[in-house]
Amino acid sequence: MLNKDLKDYIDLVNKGSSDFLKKKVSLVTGGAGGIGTAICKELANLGSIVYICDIKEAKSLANEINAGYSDVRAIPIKTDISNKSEVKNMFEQILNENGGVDILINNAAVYGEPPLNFLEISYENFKKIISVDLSGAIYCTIAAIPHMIKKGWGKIMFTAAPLSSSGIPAPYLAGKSGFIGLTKFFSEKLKKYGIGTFAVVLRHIYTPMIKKVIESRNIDIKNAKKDLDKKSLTGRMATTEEIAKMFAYFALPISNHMSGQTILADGGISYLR
Amino acid sequence: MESMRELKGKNCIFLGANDSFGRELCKNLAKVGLNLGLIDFDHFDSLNLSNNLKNIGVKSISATVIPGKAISFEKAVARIIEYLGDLDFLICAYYFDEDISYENDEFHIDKLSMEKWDNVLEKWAGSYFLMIKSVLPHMLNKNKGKIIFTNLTSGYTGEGEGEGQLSGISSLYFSACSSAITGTMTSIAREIIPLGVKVNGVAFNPTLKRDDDRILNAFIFLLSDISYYTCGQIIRLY
Ligand SMILES: NC(=O)c1ccc[n+]([C@@H]2O[C@H](COP(=O)([O-])OP(=O)(O)OC[C@H]3O[C@@H](n4cnc5c(N)ncnc54)[C@H](O)[C@@H]3O)[C@@H](O)[C@H]2O)c1
Repeated sequence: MLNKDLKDYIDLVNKGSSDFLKKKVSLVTGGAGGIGTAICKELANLGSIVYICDIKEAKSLANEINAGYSDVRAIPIKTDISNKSEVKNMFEQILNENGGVDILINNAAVYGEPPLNFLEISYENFKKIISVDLSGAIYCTIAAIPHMIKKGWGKIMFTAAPLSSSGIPAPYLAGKSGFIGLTKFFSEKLKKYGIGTFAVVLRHIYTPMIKKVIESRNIDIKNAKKDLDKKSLTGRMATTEEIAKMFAYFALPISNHMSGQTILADGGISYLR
Repeated sequence: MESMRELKGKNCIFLGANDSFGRELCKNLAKVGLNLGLIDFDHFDSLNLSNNLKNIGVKSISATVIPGKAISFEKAVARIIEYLGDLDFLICAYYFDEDISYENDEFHIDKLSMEKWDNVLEKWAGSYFLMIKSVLPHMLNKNKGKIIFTNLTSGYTGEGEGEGQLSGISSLYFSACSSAITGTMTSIAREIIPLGVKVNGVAFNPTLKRDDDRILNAFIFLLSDISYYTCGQIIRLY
């Protein structure tokens, strides 16, 4: 006999949509970006109300998502996550409108404006990038915990990157690797409240961010894409939709037994190093 | 031991000399013969320590820096190098040992504070950044230098002790900042090791005793040339 969660999950994989997350509220930071958009669409498809948190306008993305359903599933919430009071207001608004956050996906990040190499980067720039890439996620997580404790359930996720990533600027890597300590720490402290924590560790996904990284190195984009595709054991970069499915897995009750996990989803690149 | 003789008379800047761990390590490094420039956020103990180190027979001087203020780091480094005459090593060993989310050893999830995080980040990772920025021109000028930083094993385990053992010690701030330091230093190491400046780290279990022999052994190993090919590594002391 299959357990109910597993049976539902298999149904979901077969059918492609479900109402698993019907009464759940998700918050995706950087929700209007490459990976964030795919995560928002995936969670909405699972029935969740999804707050699209981004520093840029996300109304058209919300409209696009909502057009596919009879109910409102996507709500844009323009917030700069590096600003503590904006973060506090955002959580207050979600609490008032929909009873608080069940699923938090800490996905927003900036690669930063050059110069980013250590010899040239200023402390101000270092601080500015970390304030989004690491502190922003910490602010959101601190604000989300009381909502989840009240509900007796919750999922907190981080979009991380491997330490072995080559040539990655210090403040960006500080954020990406900081998530690994956070995931472990919170798993131990929050499990008793029914809250699970996960870091999905990515390397190359074809999004506006990776295009910016390529451009910053003055490399031809087409050749760079081919090179990155070749680096992966799978022969190509992962799509944002594939990555979104991993986040969805951790959002679903089927992963309730898991926590504190750092999952490497890099097409095997790290295996080759 | 050959490695200890090799260190005699070398000049080292030490960030974080004021806490009990820093003091103990500085005394042991002075016994090995290192001249030490002590840096911390206040003069609370480093003046005394500096005098104690002189009694051991090495050169020593102390200076203060202001968290987040690049110019204060640059000035402190310039003053120390002028006094010591040269610079071989930088040790960044700042360590936070208070956590407002604990009360009587009990962890309180409702006491997690965004402001406290900002403070830890600036004092800890921020000071490592500014310290390295300030010493680097001197080291690059001479194409030599070794940088050793410390953080906590909780950056890997989320916890105080070895993998799988839940001691309950550690905090949001320590775990996040320690793993952020690992990322920052990995990135810096990749850039500056090819320029001749070595970077390695030592991660402590927060419950490690200050006088544990392994601490000095790890530092001597990384400061001496036995570890010549050890680059961008972090020795974890569980
Ligand atoms: N694309 C990759 O190859 C790759 C690899 C490893 C990790 N990642 C991580 O995946 C996540 C998503 O990246 P992406 O590739 O979709 O990048 P992206 O640039 O397309 O998306 C990032 C989004 O974050 C938003 N954002 C930036 N600053 C913000 C702030 N202060 N407050 C709120 N929102 C803000 C941006 O507006 C953007 O929409 C990031 O955390 C990134 O570090 C990406």
